Amino acid sequence: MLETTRSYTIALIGNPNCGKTSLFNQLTGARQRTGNMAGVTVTSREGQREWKGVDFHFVDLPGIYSLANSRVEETVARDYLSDTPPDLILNVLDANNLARNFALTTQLMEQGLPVVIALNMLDELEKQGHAVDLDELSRGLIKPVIGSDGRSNTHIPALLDLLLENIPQQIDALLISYEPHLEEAVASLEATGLERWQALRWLESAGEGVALQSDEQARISNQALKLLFSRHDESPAEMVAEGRYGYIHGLLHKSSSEHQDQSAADHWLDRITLNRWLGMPVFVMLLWLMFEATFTLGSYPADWIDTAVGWIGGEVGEWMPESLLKDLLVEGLIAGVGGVLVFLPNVVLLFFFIALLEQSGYMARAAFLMDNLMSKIGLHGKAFVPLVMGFGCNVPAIMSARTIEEPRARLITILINPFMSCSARLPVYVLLAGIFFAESAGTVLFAMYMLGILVAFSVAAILARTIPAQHDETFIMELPPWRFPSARSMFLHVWDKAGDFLHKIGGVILVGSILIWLLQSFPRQGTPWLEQLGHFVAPVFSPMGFGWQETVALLSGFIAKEVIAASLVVVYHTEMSDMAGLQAAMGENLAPASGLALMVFTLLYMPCLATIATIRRETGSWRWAGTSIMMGLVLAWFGSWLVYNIASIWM
Amino acid sequence: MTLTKLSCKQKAKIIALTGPEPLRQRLVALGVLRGFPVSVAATSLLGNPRTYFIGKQQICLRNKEAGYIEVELQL
Ligand SMILES: Nc1nc2c(ncn2[C@@H]2O[C@H](COP(=O)(O)OP(=O)(O)O)[C@@H](O)[C@H]2O)c(=O)[nH]1
Ligand SMILES: [Mg+2]
Repeated sequence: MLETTRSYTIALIGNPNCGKTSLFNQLTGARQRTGNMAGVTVTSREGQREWKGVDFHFVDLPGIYSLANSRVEETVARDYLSDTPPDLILNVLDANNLARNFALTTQLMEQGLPVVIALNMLDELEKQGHAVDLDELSRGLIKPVIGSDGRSNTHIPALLDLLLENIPQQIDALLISYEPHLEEAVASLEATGLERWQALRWLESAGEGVALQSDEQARISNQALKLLFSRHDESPAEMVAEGRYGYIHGLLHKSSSEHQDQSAADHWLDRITLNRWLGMPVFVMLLWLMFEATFTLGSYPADWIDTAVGWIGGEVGEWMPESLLKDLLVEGLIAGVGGVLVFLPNVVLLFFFIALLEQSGYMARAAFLMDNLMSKIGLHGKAFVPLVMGFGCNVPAIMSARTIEEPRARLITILINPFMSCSARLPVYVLLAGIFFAESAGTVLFAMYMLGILVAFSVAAILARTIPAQHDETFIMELPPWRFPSARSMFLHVWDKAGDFLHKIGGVILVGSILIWLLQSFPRQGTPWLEQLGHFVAPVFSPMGFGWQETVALLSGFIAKEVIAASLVVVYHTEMSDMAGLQAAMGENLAPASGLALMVFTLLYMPCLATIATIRRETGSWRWAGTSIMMGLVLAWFGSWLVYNIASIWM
Repeated sequence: MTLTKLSCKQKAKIIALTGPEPLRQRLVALGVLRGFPVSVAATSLLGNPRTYFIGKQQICLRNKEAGYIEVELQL
């Protein structure tokens, strides 16, 4: 049978946190980031899947509650639907909160869009002893309904078959009858040429969700809206919603075993984590535990890697004849790359813990706990999420600030993000803390992160008082249910991060190490260039007690902060290419107070190149990227100077 | 009374949404509607914000916004 390959576009639409991205990953084999909270996916993602000779093109849209609201996510989804109508919509629903999830479905169906409905999270529903009759639902809606699970792929073939069967789909727009006055208003809008769904959307968004075509249309519509407002205390949005919920309750009455208005079950974890008195201490404890574990658990595999790198260096040193190439390999490459590779376990652990916070649902709780403090610096609780993500990497963290609507709050969140110590800085701390504060390394690590947060908050407080706010942003956030993190998505997440880290080691750190080694080894006679450069710039850093070696390492960190650790290893090259040797050499050359100051400088000074580029892109101007660089440099210098002087008195 | 006056362990029902139109639309989209049962789920250290069970979900609101939600006690 000859057939040209057909290709169809399918858009995933649903409430935030209903499992769209999980399902998208199952459908396409992709590995997009998922998280147990609203607002993880801010832009749409696309992926392919071939099925029975047909090319499916899937689009994962940001989660939305309604097509009528005008927040970023909603606008992205609405524009997508109107500009590039997909062949079919896969409407993903959280089976635990069907009524609210169906509110969006009714909007799609009223608009007469082709829809297939996937009920996700049925496992959770069943665990609570409830059930939904999918056939009954399907009959009631006159749309195909299928059960799905974002965490397994057993039902994926059936889902793909169902999608295929439904292109094209027989469509009759859903008709819900509303309150008489509302119907009157809809009728008068329809008389001006609008479709029924457009009339409804225009009314429920009080004149925003749909662009009107003519002045005449606008006049009549506004008149109808005004009349509606004068007749009712409720806003049209409420009246429309009541109509829809009425329809939905009728539907669920027949198909769901659950009593409709039941309260969410409270969870024992909430009684601890959200407890008025325990909440904060538990939060700080958890963060401390996270960094302590990152250091202590990470040190075991780090030792193995260290031994392996030392062994390789030793073997190569023995077998190769004396030559410049041998020096390059042993002192430049193996020492530099190996010196950073050692920190892979720490970085992996840190990402593991951040993923754990995200996937379990604790992140949203943290946002709640932090809201009051955040409100003092012109932000709200949700802005805390990009900040914690910054502990991993500032680049995606700054991008996730897109979910913050109010321009000033967004700008502040972006500008303070580089002070959230990203995982690239971790190697420097682990190295220095291990050398100078071996007894309490975990606590020093925790203190660095806290200092970062403190600086971030202080800067935010100053910015909030200098930049005027455009409008108040309301802080309304849904707390997701606690979920046991899915092993698969945790593993994939950590795996990807480990891959990124190794990628960087193979790229920028490798090149950086070679470069540092070259500058260090030439000219063959006299003072090496690197040392000359170091001595030249060193006066700037001498108030903190840094030598030319530290100066050079800090300069090299402009590219990426992991390079700092690599540089230190290369410039302090000792006979042994292992950590112990480096630690001894550095410990001799640097006072503990300087070691602390070096950590502080690394924490605060300018963001890496990738972060600068991201700030430039997200704020749309070099001005803010420049501000960020300057701010970092100034704060780093004064901060480390202060720390050095205070610590010198103490130690 | 408004939602801010609701104390822990009390059960109430939403009777009206007031306040600016965008806020009302946002609440409605989240399924915060007249007739839904509501109770306090958690209070932060300083008493603002608080989280509430509304319908089947737990929603975090600052007192400013909660003050726009009129409720009536249920016995
Ligand atoms: N129990 C259960 N959890 C799920 C299911 N699908 C997704 N999840 C979890 O729900 C959370 C939200 O998923 P995500 O795909 O990020 O949702 P999105 O916001 O709609 O993209 C994640 O923690 C998932 O692991 C499911 O079918 N059952
Ligand atoms: Mg998503």
